[in-house]
Amino acid sequence: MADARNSAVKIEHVVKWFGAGDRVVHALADVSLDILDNEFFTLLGPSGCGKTTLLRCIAGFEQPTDGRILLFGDEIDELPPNKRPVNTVFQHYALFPHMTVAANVGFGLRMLKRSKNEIDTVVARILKLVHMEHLADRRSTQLSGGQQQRVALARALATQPKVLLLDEPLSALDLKLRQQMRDELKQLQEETGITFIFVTHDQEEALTMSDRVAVMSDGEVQQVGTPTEIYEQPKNHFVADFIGETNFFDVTVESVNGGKATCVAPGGARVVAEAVEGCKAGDTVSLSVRPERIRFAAEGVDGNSLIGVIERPTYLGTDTRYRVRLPDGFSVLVRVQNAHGGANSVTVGDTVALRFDPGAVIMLMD
Amino acid sequence: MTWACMVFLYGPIIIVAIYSFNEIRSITVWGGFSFAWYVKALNNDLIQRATFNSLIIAVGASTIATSFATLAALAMRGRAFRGREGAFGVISLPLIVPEIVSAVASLIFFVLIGIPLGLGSILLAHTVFCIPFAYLPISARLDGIEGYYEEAARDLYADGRQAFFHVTLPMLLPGIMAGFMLAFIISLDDFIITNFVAGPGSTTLPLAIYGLVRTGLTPEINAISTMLLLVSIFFVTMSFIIGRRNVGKNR
Amino acid sequence: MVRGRQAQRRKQRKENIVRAMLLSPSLLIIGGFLIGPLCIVLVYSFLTPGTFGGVIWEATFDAYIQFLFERDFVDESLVFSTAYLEIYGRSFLQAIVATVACFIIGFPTAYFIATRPEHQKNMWVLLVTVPYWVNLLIRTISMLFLIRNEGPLNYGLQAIGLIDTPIQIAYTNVGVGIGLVYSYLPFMVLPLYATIERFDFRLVEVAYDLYADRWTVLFKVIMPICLPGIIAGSLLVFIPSLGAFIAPDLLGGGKNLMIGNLIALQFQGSRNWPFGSAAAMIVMSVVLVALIVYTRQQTRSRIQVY
Repeated sequence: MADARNSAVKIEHVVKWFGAGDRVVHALADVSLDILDNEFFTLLGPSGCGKTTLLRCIAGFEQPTDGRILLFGDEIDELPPNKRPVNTVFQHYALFPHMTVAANVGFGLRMLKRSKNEIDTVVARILKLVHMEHLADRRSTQLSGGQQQRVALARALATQPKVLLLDEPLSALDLKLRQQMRDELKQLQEETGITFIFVTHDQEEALTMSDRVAVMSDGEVQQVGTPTEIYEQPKNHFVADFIGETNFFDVTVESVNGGKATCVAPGGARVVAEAVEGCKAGDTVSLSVRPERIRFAAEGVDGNSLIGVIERPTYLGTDTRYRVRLPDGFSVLVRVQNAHGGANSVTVGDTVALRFDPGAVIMLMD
Repeated sequence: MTWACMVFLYGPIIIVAIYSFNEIRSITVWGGFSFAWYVKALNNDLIQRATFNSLIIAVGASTIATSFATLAALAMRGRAFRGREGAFGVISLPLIVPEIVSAVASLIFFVLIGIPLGLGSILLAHTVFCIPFAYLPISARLDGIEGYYEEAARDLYADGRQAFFHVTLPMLLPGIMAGFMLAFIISLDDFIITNFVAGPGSTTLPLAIYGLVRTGLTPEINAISTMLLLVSIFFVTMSFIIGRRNVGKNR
Repeated sequence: MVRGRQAQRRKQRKENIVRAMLLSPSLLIIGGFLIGPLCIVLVYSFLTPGTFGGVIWEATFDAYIQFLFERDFVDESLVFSTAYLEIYGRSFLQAIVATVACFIIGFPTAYFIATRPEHQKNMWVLLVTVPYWVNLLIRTISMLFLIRNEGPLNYGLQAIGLIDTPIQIAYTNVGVGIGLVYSYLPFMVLPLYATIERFDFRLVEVAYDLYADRWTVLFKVIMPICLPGIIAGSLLVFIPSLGAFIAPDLLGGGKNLMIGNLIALQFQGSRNWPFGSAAAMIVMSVVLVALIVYTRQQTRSRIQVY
């Protein structure tokens, strides 16, 4: 292992089916993950990919149809949720409406039969940690969305779980609050040292907060890596497409030479890419190039070059995104930063030369 | 047409109420506002005894019915299970069977089994038809409680019993109270079934009123009617309000 | 694969046992004190009446025969008698008339409420519902108070000069009819309101757009779609009206008997328990038939939607 840290949660070949007979839903189809201690780990994917199901399996609300789940080495998949030292922050917060904030936060400790003194102390400390100490006696139904979220967080942290599970906790908040909470969550994880497992469909959240991300789709893990790895080196079509924007070229490999593969696009254009291990001439592959790695440059730069016509610019504030039509009919997206003169350099109808390094071209084997 | 409908529905009872305050015993002449008839009604020995009986039975029947109904509602929630529709059919059966038929059935049964006809038999019969009335508000309330509250409780180390008593039950309480109040007033108001299964010595308020009516309408009856009316309306409205209170959505 | 499934099945079985236990008090008490007794009533309807009430355990069809025939005292032959058929006929007629009357009053009312602004709707529904919750006995007494010869209604009409002598409404069939409508009107309004509320009024606009006049819209567009609610409301009025006791008893004055009174009589005055049981069974059968028709219609309409 590259990391000397302990494994906090190890998921071994977990399978989960719902239903029976001919109406079976395969929510999880053989998932294996190793989530490390003191890590901010995110499960990212579109709805229905199984990320929430996996989270619920770890929490104990679902039981895997097959496979094991280990928590710091101990098998927990047969334990009920109230016997697992794992706590959840629910998507709709699930704050008990008939209790005050303090009662909510102290609930877990009460269930564990701690002394009243201990409960009061811990509750006060935790509320301070999430900046909610002034609302301790408020009814949970009288709080704003952001406040409820904080209380839910405090409630889950009060019992010092080994792992904290967060099920899309920011999805109900508006943008500014969401961004603020992202920073706070990240900080909280670093301060407490507890492993956070975070579920979301929002890639910006995943990329900004996580130490590592597992991209999921259709009940399978597509790729696990740091945000940089996921973004810059997607391993397959799904990941390249789901994360950010990209341009896909379906090409045939013509020749492989010294780590670089020369490929031919249907229209005849030649693109040089980083060769993937094991690729050979004659293979049909997909190439992925991020729009921001393509430049408008006329001459003098080595690397790949295509000619096209500017079709449609879209102003995005920080960048401008151009749709460029190639002679063979395909469109390519190009992003240029406006601060570097992007918005004004070209206009619709211009013929431009597009240039990009072979290093920016990712070869996907599927 | 709606106004006509409203007049039709409320007219008679309002008129009865008005006349209950008429000092003198006449339709045509207004003798002055007076509580005299109310005093007379409340002092009536028979009425007092009957009211006492009615209250005892109502409290008893609604308590038992509400408890049973709560258990039943807890059993019926969640995903469908085999026999669920059948169970619901049985629970709502007292609502479907015409009261006269239920009354006959109860009478025949008690006599056959040898249960003496008195307050006890009334209590038993009332409990039966109070169950569906208590069940409906409880079940409605239970349906409104999202599943994630109990999940959150279990996540926070509560076992089944703790989760129920600390989370589910407090959230269910308004529904239980609404069910109780509804069952109470249904028991208090019942006439047909009570008429059949009451013994010679035991009389309830509706039975006593019926007896009085048979001998002729008096302003006393107006007074009693108005009072019972107000009590009924009060209980039903309270049941409705409490049942709606604070469904607990954290959105 | 096997391990997880087994655990799932085990958990479900435990769940089912708990459910059964929770349901048992309610089911047992209703089963024992209602379903059981109903079966006994069925049995009793085939027995012989005892001299002072009760039954003699001798099987006979006498109770049912009695509806149509009378035994001649002298020669024990059966003579066709309409006495009881009259009562049944009256009951059916009253129930039907009450249902129609409730519909005529109830439909516009439900329509009105359904077209109120959102926050008002609940208030109106409450207003219509509250009278129902008042003791039926009290309400019928109030109606009697109102319409009897010495009552405010007659007094008022005479005072205005519309009539000279009081109109006999109480203790007539009409009085009973009014009493029935009064008892069960909310039962018609509420289901109608529920269906009309869900009705998509844009369909009305489409109909107008296609040159339909108001009556056509009413009969060809609104009513067919609201049919489930109409049927539900009608059943909810018809069935209790058929077996009604209080209204015919207080407002019918000892004549104008309906089935409910007939049954009650068998257990008080006449002491013919099998006959009363038989009458009760007949009422019950009508109710069951109506329910079956209703559920059949519900499933059919659901299939039609798909």
